[in-house]
Amino acid sequence: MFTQIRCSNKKAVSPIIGYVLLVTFVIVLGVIIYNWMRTYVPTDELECPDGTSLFVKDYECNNSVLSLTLKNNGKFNIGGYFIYATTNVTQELATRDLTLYMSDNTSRLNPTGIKFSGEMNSLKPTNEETETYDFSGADFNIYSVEIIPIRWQKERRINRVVSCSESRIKEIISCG
Amino acid sequence: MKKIGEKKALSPVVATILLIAMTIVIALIVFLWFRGLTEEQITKFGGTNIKIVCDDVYFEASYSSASQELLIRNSGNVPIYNFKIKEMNGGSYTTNDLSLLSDEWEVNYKTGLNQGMSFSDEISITGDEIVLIPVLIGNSDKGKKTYVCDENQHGYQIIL
Repeated sequence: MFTQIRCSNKKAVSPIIGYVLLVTFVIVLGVIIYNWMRTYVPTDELECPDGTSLFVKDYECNNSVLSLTLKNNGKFNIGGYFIYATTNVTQELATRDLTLYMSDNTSRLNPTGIKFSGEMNSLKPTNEETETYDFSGADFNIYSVEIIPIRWQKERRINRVVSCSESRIKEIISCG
Repeated sequence: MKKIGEKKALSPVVATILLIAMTIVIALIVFLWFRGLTEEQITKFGGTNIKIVCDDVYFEASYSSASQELLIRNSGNVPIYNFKIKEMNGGSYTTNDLSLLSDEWEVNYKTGLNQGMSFSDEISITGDEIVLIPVLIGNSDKGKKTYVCDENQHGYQIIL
């Protein structure tokens, strides 16, 4: 026997259960999408402030000992620097790391880089510091040096070394 | 001939079981698909997706055909684990890991080219153009995993 059921008599999920299901779905979906997308949120790039600048005020090379006088001519304190040299005339990019030739080995950073004496970011604007490098025994000559200033900056509560590649300098120097 | 009302269909119990089974199977498929998407995530620096970290990679390089010397300097703030070297010759190209081409890299740069470090070694390249593509290492659910940055965005081209 064919029985007709009226629309109003149809039983479905109760409105409260419907809401609970809906809210649960939304929360679960939200959590899944948040976990998936959160790594894509870009953080601020670690970079030195504009106006960070270092220059070679003077240099002297005697008996394979190079003395470099570096001056902070920028607006911000500088913590140290990476230093590289070219070892032949035609070399375009300075890649010979001079860190190991620094006379004061307490200033050397691991694995590379030189820290100015004193606290972090100790070289204040207008201040200068003379650094000495000893190349006696080295089997190369130096034709130029490239210096990239570095600063210690806080990122997520951790002090990190930041390379100020925008402020790098190149100086033609003959030594060795 | 049977009337419409007399046609037999599935019993409500079988229909319910089928519905639940189908729902479970579909949910399982969606779950596995989504897990596949999320598991591939590699992060670095405390949770930043490695694809975003690739944007911060900055290095300089040069190659001398005369001395066959490849020079690379990591002037940025992101350690570079390895490089893919894409060597192009006419219309064809080959891609190799720098760690396979250079003994120097294999010996002294096992952890990669860290911030401020430089690399130089003699490498024989016969093509007319090379592209250096940085490879980073990050953390994933399955442990440490390498990621090759996008060649078009982060590749360093050197015309020989």
